[in-house]
Amino acid sequence: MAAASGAASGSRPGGFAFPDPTTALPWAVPLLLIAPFATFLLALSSVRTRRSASATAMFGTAVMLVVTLLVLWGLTRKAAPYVATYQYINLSVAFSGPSSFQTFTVQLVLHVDHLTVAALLAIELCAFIALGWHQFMGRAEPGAARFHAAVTALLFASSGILMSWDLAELFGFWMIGGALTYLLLAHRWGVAEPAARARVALALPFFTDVCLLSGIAWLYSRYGTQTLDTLVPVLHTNPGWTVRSLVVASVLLFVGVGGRIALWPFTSWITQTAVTAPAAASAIVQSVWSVAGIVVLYRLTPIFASSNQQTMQALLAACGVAAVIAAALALVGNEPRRAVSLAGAAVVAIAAAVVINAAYHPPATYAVAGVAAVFALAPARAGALLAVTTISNAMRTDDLAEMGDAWRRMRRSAAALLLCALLLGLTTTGALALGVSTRTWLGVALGEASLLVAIAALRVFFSVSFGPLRRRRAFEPDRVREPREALGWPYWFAVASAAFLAATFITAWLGFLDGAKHPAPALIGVAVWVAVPVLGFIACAATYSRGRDGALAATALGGAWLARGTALVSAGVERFVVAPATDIAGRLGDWIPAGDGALGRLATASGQLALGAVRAPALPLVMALAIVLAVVFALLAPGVAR
Amino acid sequence: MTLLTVIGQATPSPVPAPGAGLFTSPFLLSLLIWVPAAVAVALAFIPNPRGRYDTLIKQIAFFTNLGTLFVFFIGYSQFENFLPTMQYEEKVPWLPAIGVTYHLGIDGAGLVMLMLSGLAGVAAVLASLNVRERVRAYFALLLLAQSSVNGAIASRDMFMLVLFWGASIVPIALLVIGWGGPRRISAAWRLVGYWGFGTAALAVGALALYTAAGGTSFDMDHLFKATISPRVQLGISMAMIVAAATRLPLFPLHGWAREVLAESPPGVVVIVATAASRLGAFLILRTIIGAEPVAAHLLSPLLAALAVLTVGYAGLAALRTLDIRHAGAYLAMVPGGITVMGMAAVSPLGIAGSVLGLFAGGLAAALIAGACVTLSDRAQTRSMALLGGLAPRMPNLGWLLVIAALALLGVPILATFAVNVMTFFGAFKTQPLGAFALAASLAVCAVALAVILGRVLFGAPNADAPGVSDVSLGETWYLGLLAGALLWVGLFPGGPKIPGTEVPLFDPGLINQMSAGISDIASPYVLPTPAAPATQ
Amino acid sequence: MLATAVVVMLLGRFAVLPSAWRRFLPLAAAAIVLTALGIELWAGAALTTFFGGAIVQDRFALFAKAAALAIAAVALASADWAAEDSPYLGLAMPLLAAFGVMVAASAADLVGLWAGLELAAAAAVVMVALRRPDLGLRLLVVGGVATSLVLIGLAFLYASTGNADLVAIRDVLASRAPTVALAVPMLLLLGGLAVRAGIAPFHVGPLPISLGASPLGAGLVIGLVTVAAATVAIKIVAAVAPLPAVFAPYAVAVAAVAMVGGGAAALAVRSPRPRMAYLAVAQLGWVAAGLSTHFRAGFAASLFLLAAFGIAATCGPALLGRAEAGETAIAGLGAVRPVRAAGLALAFLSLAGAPPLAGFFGELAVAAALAQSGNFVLLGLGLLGSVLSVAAVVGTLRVLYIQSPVDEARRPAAAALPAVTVLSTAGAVVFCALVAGYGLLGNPILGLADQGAEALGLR
Repeated sequence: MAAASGAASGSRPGGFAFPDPTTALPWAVPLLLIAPFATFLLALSSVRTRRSASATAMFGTAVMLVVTLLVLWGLTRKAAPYVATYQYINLSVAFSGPSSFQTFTVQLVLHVDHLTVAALLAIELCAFIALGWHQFMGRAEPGAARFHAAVTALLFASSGILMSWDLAELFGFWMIGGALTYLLLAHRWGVAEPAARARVALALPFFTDVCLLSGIAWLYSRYGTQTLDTLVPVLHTNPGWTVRSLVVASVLLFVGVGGRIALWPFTSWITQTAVTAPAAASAIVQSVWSVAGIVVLYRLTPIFASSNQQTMQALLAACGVAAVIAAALALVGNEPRRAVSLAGAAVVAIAAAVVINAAYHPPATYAVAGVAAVFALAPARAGALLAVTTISNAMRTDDLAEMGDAWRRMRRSAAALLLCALLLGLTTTGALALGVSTRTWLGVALGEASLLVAIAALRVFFSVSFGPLRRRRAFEPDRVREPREALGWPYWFAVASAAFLAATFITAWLGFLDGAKHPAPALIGVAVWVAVPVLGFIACAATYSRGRDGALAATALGGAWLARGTALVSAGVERFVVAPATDIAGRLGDWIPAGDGALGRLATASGQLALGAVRAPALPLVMALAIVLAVVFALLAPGVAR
Repeated sequence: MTLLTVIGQATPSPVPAPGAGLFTSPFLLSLLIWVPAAVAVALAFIPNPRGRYDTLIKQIAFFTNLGTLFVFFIGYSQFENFLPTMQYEEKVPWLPAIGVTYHLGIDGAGLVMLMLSGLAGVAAVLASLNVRERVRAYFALLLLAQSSVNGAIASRDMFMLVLFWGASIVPIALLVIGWGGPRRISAAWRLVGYWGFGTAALAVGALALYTAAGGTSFDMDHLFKATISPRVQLGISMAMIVAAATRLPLFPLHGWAREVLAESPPGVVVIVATAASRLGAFLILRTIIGAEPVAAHLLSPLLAALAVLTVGYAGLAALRTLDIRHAGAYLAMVPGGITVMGMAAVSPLGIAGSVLGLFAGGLAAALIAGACVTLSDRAQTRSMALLGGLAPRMPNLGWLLVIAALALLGVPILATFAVNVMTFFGAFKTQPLGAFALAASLAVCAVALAVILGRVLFGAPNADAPGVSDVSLGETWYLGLLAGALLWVGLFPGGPKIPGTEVPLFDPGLINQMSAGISDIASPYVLPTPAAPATQ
Repeated sequence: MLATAVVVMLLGRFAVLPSAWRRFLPLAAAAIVLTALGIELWAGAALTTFFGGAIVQDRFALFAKAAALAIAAVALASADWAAEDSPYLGLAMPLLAAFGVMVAASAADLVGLWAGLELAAAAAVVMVALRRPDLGLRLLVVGGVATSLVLIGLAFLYASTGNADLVAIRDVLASRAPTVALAVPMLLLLGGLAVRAGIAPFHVGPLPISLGASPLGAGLVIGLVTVAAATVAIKIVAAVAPLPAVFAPYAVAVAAVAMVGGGAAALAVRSPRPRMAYLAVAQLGWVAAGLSTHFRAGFAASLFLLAAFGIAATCGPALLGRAEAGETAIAGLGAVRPVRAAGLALAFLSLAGAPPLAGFFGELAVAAALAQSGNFVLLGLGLLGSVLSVAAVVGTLRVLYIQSPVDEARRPAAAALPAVTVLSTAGAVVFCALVAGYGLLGNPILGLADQGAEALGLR
């Protein structure tokens, strides 16, 4: 192990001799990977009961949390990141040609800086709280050991993603995370619908993962390296580099990351599974991938920036459109978890826009504010998801129109939902205030998006909390109560989110994250960007206070139309793309055996000819053949008659 | 420890196993070829009245395989991984009148193939433990098939290659015909037809090469060094590609694969899906990539197209079929496509990836096909209309099937990840469209796998389906062995190191060992140093 | 050889041996033939001539004679004597046929060639007539046609060159241009030999006859007589080698038809003996293909293959024994008669040219020669035929090893199991060793064949 900078450095404080935390880094950093992996093995191999599985997973997460804090402490002393490197593949493939292509090396780089640690903290908090909620509210879920093993493995993968500095390594952890995401979202074995919906969660992100791989491979095939340290400096100096290749790489990488942070149109894998997967699973998956994805996007921005203006504008436009459409879609339809997921996706899109906008306007430093906003978003969306799940479980419906009166019957969950919804709306204000001017078209788009997000987030709260909870068949409203065990956990989400949100306004926090100086956001800007969601909240409140049922009917109608449209599109794809392709494959599968079978029969038939010849009168046939052949060949043979 | 460190620092990367090259057997490869054959012949004549010695015969077959694997492991650890030349070479004149020599030898690629074949042998016997009828003949044929495959791998003489290549057909066909499923007859005919056609193509190619090189020797050392006109190279390479496509198999010459892999008993599936079929890619590597750079460059688009078509077709067909065994057979074609794409990249890294792909791809193919066959045995049906929600009822096989699926898609910590990374990294310069199309086809395969896993493992259980039981010990072990090998190479491609050093612990690392000779094969394909920086 | 044959015949005719002795006759005959083989290999190395140059002992003669003797010995040993009609004639005729081959092999002139061929053919007629006089007669008539064609050809050859001596003929033709007047009789001659050999498309003559004969009889018709005809053909073609145009295209055409047609027919037919006969036809096509190359390597390859062919085609039917009842006769033979079944399997595989057996080495040697002569079309057709043949053999092997044997109680007489004797087992084992080890001994055999081709004056 080649421990690079940091391990040896660090100065001892005077007075009371504290142990120097930097000396802990060499073992603490690998522990960030080892702890979840060991927990995974433990949960998979030797844990049987639900309680012990949950306890194991929470313990593992807690250990990670503690280690992360230790690493944070160790890093507070030093600005430089801590880097440890292990060799995974080192292969000499050629003896000549460009030196960069003579060997192929994939390194397991553990690159830990402040941003990594903060992201890890956000993820671990979300996972820990979600596991706590699941301990009680997920009692009915099958395969506890499997579930918790998958969660800890996802933590392993995400900490790997966050620490990766070698893009091949990054893709490795990315794929592990993807596979586990599928397992988590397909967790309810033995039920048809979750399995069917989880297919989307495998296929769609796998396609974008393939784009990520292609982007990385594209870069490697041009530059002969895939480590960010060595790649970024040579982007414009490597012999034979072209803008075109950088554009292709940027687009592929952006699509690759966009799929996992669920930028629209890649949202269906989280919305489709929001109901059919265990709530804790969706919550963890959404929060983990939004954080990991935005950090990776932030780290890849140098590559985007090195392409060209048009590409950057296109990426910005993609983010803006994704934000607006996702937020708009969150407004229609009456499935609460879908709405919350879409609102979260819209917020991530806004944050991504901020990050890329900073790269578009060098030397702007506010990119990290977008990342910080997602730190705040992750707990908020998870909290909202779990709170609304608690409520809809109690009310035994997933239709906002059938819910209501939670504020009276389930005050705590409703309050948690309210907090999380508010936070969801406000998450990006800090980042936007720092980075985006309201006068640009981007500002307008993002403003509209955050307005819609605020409305979408809060409308869920209003729909479930007020209005009558009607009696339905086999459902007695008076039985609806707050499940006592679920108390508190969503609040913790809210607290965490609030803390991260508050931090986004503090320039020191941003400076801590990226080690750069940040100007304080202009008050007016903050005011404007806070006003936008507040406006949304007010509009939403006004609408619902005037006519809740009307609003719900409208959204239901929108949802119905949307569903119809989606069905139409998917049917079209099914009919005009999938069906023909599979049909061709199927026909080929029939034709080829038919063809070679026919060939075989032909051979046998020609053999039958030879057999039939035997039955002919031998004597005349033989004589005739011998004479005719002799004459014919004598006449036709080259060089005899002619 | 210090001594090891010194050795580690003294030697260039890749670091050889300490003490490599101490044991250089003059007949190691002959042992690997002829011991199974001799044991097979002996088995065939062991009197076995009313199956009294069935168990003994199984034990003999198992320990023969274990023994040859052990012998090979010695060869593996003693392999000198930075020698460009053939190792463990054996060269005896055989038919001087037509220039045939008994010439065996392996480089990195051959080593990888032999490793695959050795593991496959042990796995095949484990998979065949529940064979009940005509046990003697079954294991004799299995061993014969193996020895012929080993021979084809180690041959350094074209005549011998054709000999061993063709020799594997009859035993495998008899195994299919004698112990296969309901459609075994047509499966066996297809096997004989396609493989026979491939052998004929190989013979034509070999003889054309022999003639073009002067008609004095079949020795590859002579043939591959001969200067041959591009047109002839092209013709020979086309013949070789046909031969390879019938083996690997590649679309559209894959007609045998569905039925053979679906109808054969698991043991035969393992043999066929691993080394016996990887011989196809091995042939392309040896005779086109390794011998005829001009033809390789000219034909690389064709190879890329074949690879993409194979993977895409496999995914779509698996998506459509309702027969789990057919699905497994189709999906077993995927790794071959990826391997061929690595060669179509005609870049050093792509070629290295395809060499590792010979090993990892073979294991992945055998794992998916074997898992599907075993699953349909255990579930007593092959129809996915009946299969459903099996994961809770057969957890072991469920996990193995998931691992197989992940291996096909090249998920990390499995060896196929390294293969995919190397293949795509190597291919995106020369075959960008092909590489991206291949990646997209992989996404189709992911959908197919999602559908199959969703329906068979995670879907709703079917009350009308026949009873289900989880895998037996033997089946767990054979699938576990394949998965374990994938996992080991995936976790330690460079072998486990002594902590704090770069010195290998006991396994020098497949990826290090395989690099022997690869650089020489790859040297004609080294990319030229790029032009001066483009002006902005 | 001749003496042994006559003695054996006389024994059968006059002296009635006690049955105890009768059992040892085959052993004795085989032993004598083996002794002859030993003498041949030991003394035959010296190049001499006998009868004023009518008989020459060159490398070609050595090779062909050694092959014929080996074939005869193994055939006699491995035959199922219970299935033969007369042990005496059954022993004598193969010896006569082998003698015929030897005469033809060492003949220096056209007369000797013709005599040898006829001797072998006559032996076959007798063997066939023993069981089926009608078929014997038919073979006689077909043979008559063949003989007449051969005689016409030989006569014209003599007339046009003024020589009966092969070497002299070659010298004369070396300075001639090919003419129709030479080509027609030459091709008639080859046609006659083709009828004798029963190579497609002339198989319609002898092949159906062979199916009705006793095992050894069939072996003679399919094997030894064919070897004799092929030997004559090789010597004649070698003599007219200076004018390839008069025979090469014909040989190519016949080879193509035989290789593909034989393979396809073997695939189409199911009963073991016909299948074996058609496989033999296909492999004979390869021999013809070797001749079409009209240079030394090709002829050497043909000779190399001819020996492999002779062993498998003569001993195969003998090992097959009484198998009139079609496939059921050999169903599950692997379980009840393992050694004989192994021999049978190897015979089939070798005739199909499956690696790593005798036929494969021969065929690939021919293929190498074809490739060098640039005739890749014929090569491709041959390989196609071999693929069909192997497919056919897989079917037979399935019957041999995978199918379960007929219930002994219900086993028809036509499918009676061959008797197991020490000699037959030993014969089968030796046969297996020869066919499987042909490749190992390939170097000396091919070397000798090469010298044989050289002795024919080819280069």
